[in-house]
Amino acid sequence: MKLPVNLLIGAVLVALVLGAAALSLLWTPHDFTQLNVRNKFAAPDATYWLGTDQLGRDLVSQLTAGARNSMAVALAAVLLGGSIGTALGLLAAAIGGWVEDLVMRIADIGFAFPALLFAIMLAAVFGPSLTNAVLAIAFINIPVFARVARAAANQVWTREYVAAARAAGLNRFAISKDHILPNIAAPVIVQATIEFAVAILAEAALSYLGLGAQPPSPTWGRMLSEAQTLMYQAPQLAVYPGLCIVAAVMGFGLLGDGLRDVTDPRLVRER
Amino acid sequence: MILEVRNVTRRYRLPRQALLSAPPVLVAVDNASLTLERGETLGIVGESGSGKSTLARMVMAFERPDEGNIRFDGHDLNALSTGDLRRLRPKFQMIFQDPYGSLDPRRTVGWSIAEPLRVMASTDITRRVDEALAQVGLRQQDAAKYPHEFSGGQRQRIAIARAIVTRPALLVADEAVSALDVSVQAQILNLLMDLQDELGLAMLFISHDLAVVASICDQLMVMQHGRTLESGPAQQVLAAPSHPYTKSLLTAAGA
Amino acid sequence: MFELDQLSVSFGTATALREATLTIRPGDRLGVVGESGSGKTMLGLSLMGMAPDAAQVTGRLTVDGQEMTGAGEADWQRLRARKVAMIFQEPMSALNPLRRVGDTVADPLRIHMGLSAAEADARALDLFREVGMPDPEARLRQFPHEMSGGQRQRVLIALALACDPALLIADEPTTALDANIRLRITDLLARLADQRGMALLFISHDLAAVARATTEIAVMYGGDIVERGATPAVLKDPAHPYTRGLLGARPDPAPQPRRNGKRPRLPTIPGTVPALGDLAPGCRFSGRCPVELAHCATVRPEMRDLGGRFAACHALEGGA
Repeated sequence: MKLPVNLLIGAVLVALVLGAAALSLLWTPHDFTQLNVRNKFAAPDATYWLGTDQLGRDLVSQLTAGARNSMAVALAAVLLGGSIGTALGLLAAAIGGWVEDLVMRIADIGFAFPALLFAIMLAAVFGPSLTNAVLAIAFINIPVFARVARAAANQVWTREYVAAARAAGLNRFAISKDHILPNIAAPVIVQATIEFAVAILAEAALSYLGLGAQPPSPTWGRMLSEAQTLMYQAPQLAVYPGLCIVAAVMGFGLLGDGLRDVTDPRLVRER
Repeated sequence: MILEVRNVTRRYRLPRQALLSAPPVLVAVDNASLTLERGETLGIVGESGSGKSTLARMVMAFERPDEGNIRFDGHDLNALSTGDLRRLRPKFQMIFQDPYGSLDPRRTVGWSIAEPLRVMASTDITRRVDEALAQVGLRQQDAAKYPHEFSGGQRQRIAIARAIVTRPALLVADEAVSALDVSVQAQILNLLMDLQDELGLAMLFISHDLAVVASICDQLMVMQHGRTLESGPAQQVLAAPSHPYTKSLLTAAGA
Repeated sequence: MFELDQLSVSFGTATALREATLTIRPGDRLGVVGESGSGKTMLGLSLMGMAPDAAQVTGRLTVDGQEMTGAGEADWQRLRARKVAMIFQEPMSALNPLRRVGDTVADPLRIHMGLSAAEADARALDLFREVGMPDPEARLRQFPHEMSGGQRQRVLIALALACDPALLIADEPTTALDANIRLRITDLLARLADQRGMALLFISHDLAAVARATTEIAVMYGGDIVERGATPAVLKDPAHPYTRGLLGARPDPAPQPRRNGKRPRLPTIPGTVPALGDLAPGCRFSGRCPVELAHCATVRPEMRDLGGRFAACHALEGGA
């Protein structure tokens, strides 16, 4: 089968970002917290590949460490929100009736609720932190996954093998676990990849507003935020994290679209 | 008597046509009654919209009748608690129409056949799965394969193996051979007859094809638009159909 | 006139249609019967120039003397609708749900035949009358979902007839329909062919429908035409062992009383249809055949003339 171009480009970008993030766990060219005020705004050279920032910290080290933090936040948020949302969607499809209506109406309200507002509320009450950023992003993911999981699950529920499982005496929860979940895995994973891109962007936005990662922990959003005041003096400080965000969001977005293309049998048939 | 359906009616509410009008009601099954003895086969003939599949779903306790009751082996299916119903389920099993849709594509054949046994907490699962595979003419090694590795006829054998693995007293077959080619269809019909002789199964055999039903049934019931047009011993109904609709079905079957 | 000379369609090593030789003349009503994988649908698609892109097509196909072997899509498009048209099994999915059926039928009349809008509408109404549509004026303005399955199939037949094709290919046209409507559509197709002098290729697994609609029949197995002849003769006295097996396996709508408490079993063809790539190079039916000879699996039997009918079987040679 011929793989779609968006899948290939997405996979390459994602591999680069994840590779940088993984590498930063073991090794960065320099300590990214190391201040060196005498060497601030250094131009790129053999030691500092992209130069240094206003406090003389190595940019490459900060960007790779930032990749790690951004990925961790996005992963935790999507896993948490995705699990809760998928579970809710499965539950809604399994029980049906007013329970399904209730879950989906709550999901609608969740959809309508501005994520940023929720994050600001969390920060106001519990103080800004990376954990609260994760919780806020997870929260906005719940209704997305609830909808996707419920729609896919309702389709699987009409299959005859589900009726056969009922005839075998399985209850709705056992059927959801044994038959529904494995058969909705593909669309849920596709959605997770797309939501991962959204989560990276959300984390960047929250950190930019000072509601996410706190100093000295670098994330791309916070780097962007700090670079903002130096826009005219050292525009490269904003450009690099910006490019990283674009690459990561595009990568996961394309990967998600590509996965949807290859897993959706309707689209495969049309090709 | 293994199955007794008495004066069963099932209505569906359709989407309303206008904002303020009452939603129209479709009577899917209208006052249907039937009885089935152990070891016998009752055929239900009807076309899309006749209510035959709704009736099957009610016999399988997937749906509740709005009126009337269904007794299986003396138990009123709609009066049982959820737990009691689940414990009774292994005794009445179903085979479906679509040999591609009735097996979970992500599970091995052996896993699917064993599913009802696991619910029963059966102890000799492997032996009974092997036995069921042998009874439907498949090999022991087939248990490790996935549904997509089999042809339509073989999949229907697998579905039958799963249905008989619990040694049920009643088998409900809803268009179980309709999706199969003529020569495969004959093999599956013979298999069902063999299993009935061997296991003393009662069968509720539902089909739109009168010729297929005629080849396997003792009793015959003809349904149209939810109503029972005629019923009785199969030979009698086929030799002297009393309703013009039954006659037209006979003509279409090439009699 | 459609002439197939040793036409084959294959996908790599799998042969879906093997050296089919067939002539379809104006007014012929030819039934093609066979089970899944017999090649009957591939035969119909080849006559429409619609064999899948991945297929290798060999042999010759001519339409009114015009060589169509290896013809491009543009050549086929000139032929489709005017020379050859097709109706399918599922009438709902073959109709645009968002268009009134009258417009669906009138469109090709304006586009292909150059009729004005008013002429096309009048012609569509004529076609609806011809296919026996009840209350045709009102039906023209309906949408597909407002019609029954039988009415939708009549729309598709009207659409197929719009440009007066010389050959109408019907691939399982009655399979999705209820029994009493099945008869009416079958009879309608036979009547239209006779009235118009149009050829009909009726592809179906439903032997009862083929018996009613056709005068000639071709039986297919594993990509081969194994038997051909007048429909009543073949169905009454099949010569090829596969045809005999197929007819025997069909359940009889007559009552089947139990004997000694046991119900009579249906005659069956042993085994299963092999995958296309695993078929024997000789007779495709070898391995399942009750009268198989030693050389059947390796030597392909010739089509033998049995007095106006034909069958390809080694067991019929010499003796008979």
